Amino acid sequence: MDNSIQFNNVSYIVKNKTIINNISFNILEDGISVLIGQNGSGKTTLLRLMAGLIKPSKGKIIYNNKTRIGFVFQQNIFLNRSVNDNLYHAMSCSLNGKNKKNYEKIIRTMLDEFNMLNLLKMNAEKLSGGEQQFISLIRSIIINPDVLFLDEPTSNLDIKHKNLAEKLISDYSKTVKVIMVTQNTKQANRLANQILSVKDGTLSND
Amino acid sequence: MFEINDTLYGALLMIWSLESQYIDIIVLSLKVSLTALIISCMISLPLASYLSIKNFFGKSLIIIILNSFMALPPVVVGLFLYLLLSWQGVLSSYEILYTPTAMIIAQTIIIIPIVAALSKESIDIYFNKYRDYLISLKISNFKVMKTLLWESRHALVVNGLAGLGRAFAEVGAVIIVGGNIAELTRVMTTAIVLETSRGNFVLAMSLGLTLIFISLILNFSVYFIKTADELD
Repeated sequence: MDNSIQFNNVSYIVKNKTIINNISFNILEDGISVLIGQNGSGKTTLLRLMAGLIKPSKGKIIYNNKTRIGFVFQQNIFLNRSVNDNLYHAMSCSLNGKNKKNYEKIIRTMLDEFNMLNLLKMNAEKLSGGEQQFISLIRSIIINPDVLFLDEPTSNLDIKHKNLAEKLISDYSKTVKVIMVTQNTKQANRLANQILSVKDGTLSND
Repeated sequence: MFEINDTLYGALLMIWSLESQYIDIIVLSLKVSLTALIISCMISLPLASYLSIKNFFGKSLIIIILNSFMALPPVVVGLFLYLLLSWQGVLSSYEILYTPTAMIIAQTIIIIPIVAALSKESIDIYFNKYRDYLISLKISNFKVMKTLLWESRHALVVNGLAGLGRAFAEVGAVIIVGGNIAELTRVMTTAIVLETSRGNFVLAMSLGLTLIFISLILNFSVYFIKTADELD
């Protein structure tokens, strides 16, 4: 599967405000690409453009439309259902199958692996910020994505779960393309094969 | 005052004794209004969810028309339908004028804008909330609509009950296309109009009390569903 993403003179403008300004670059096909920058620099908008969640106002983004993507959002988004049902929904929608028993077995195994099986029946919207973020990470990988988009995926996690999440991301990046947003320079240096520094809606060399 | 007391007493006795004349009217009212509600939901809910998730030319016009038609005068609906179904009308060959079917069509037309417009507002809230997640799954519009309809189900039930309340209380359209024929097209509201004009206040009052009772049940249901939704 071709996972490369190419930006050609891409701009994103909302209500006359330029969020992304005429950017051109290529995302490496493999490994972990990290977008780093301060608040409001345009990192999240770039990530959303790459994932196809929003369309550019100008320019062209070339990517394989058939790739299956997993996304961890900065503001966790969950259906008002149990953790099991949220993970099941993502699987049944993405994997186009209805083998419920098999899905539920995978969900239980995955949660058990991270000592989170106790959350299985809990309402995902009622979990703590850290728990939501980790469940969101699990939801993004349980659908076997080709590309994983992570928007500050460890910002709410404690040290133990942050290390666990970084290991998980690192392991998955061997088979899945990972594109991640972070403000943490050390984390970027630890994980990244490619670092893109975003400043005022453009790429900088800082 | 004495007369009202007598009428109320007689009406309560009629309700208590479940007289067939009274029961027949209630059953027909429920059949007509519930059928109209089911049909209108089958049309309104997919329409509302599609309007929520898709942008297309003419969408604003459809929304404006739906919102305007929420206050559609039932007698006007009745008049148009009568002209279509009467022996000179283009749909006269179906021969459904003065039948429950015509009444169901009239009520369906009246309810659709209410359920569709209210449901679009409800589904919009959930689509704004889940938009990025649903797009990231790269699923079909049908699956997006299905997810949104399920997530907003409590609000949609409330909207449906609002439509049902309107159908039960409606009199103008059903009296024109139904004709208020005894044991065939006489429903609660049309019977109240007729029996009041005849001076048969006991039957009119028993039906009126039943209508109020149904309205109370609907409103209690709305209250409990909303409360459950807030606690969920």
